[in-house]
Amino acid sequence: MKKQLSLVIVILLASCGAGAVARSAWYNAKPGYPPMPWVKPVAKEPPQVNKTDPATNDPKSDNVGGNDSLTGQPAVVRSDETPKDICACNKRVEGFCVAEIDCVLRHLADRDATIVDAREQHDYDEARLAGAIHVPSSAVYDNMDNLMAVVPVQDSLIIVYCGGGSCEASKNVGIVLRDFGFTNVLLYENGWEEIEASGRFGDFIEMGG
Amino acid sequence: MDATSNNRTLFQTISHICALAVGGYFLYAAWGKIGPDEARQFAIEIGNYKILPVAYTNIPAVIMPFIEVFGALALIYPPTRKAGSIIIGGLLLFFICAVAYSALYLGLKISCGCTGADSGAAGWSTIGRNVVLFGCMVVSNALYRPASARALGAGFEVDPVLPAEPAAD
Repeated sequence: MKKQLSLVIVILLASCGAGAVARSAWYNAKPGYPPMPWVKPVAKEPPQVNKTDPATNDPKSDNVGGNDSLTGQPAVVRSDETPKDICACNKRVEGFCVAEIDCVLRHLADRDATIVDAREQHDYDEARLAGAIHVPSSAVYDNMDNLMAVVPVQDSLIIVYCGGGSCEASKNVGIVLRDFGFTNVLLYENGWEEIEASGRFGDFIEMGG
Repeated sequence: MDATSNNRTLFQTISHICALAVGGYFLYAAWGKIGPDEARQFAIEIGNYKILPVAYTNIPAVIMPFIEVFGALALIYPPTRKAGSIIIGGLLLFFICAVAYSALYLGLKISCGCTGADSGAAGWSTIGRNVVLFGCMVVSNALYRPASARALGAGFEVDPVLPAEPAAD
């Protein structure tokens, strides 16, 4: 029994060694490749931005949009918009701005964002937002090429949606997108649950495989 | 060949088949997790379980597949079967507890991550599969007798007690 327990320890140590060698080999094989996920500290909640520009005290000034997702830069909004920007970053998760339904609908109508579906294959096959690129959370690295092919500019706006609930899927995909250098990612946390329940998406929903 | 001998051969065969089944599954599972992209994906899957702080998921993501490989090989190779069983059994128990805690107790809808990308949702089916694998592993270990024990016709002892040699004057 002692011999077998020693063997267990040897196997565990060998596994650690093999893991360390493999890790360094993988990094050398792909220099510049993004690091393992989670290595970067999660961005802390930024201080709340006053909706009124302190310089002009004008609520309709260009600085009313709150912070842009991730970049922390003030978002530029059109001057004809109401002071309450529907895409203002009022809530952050893992450093990402969380998009509300109105914001998602606006971007869908304007066609100015890439939509990413982080749900699993069978959910995606059943129904999805029109034109959504499928990058499931369980195979995100396998599907990154599909996304990179369509989103050439890294500061393009990307909206990631999930099935709803705790929405781990969209967070995971968002983190990987950030690792790949995409700087403007919004999470639609309420996801498919809200898309279905709200009944507001109409033609934006694509059915079938 | 008498009935007892036939039974022993049958037990040995069953032991090898069970060990091959469990070991083969673990080798297949590890294959889907070894590689730069695969390790990154596996780190995400581990993070989803909410057991470890996310900052500590990278190390198990890189090391665990190798533990599975070496453990599976040890399980398949008869002389090291007991050591392999300890490792694979420990992993299976850990997986069962992890799925029970995250998917059933916390109610997280997460991917199992058992065989790398696209390995299905974690839940009762995952626990069931792990319990079956654990059972196979126990059977393979219980029915296996090393050659030395077989030659002496002993029971299932690994190290048969040999009579002490008389002390030299």
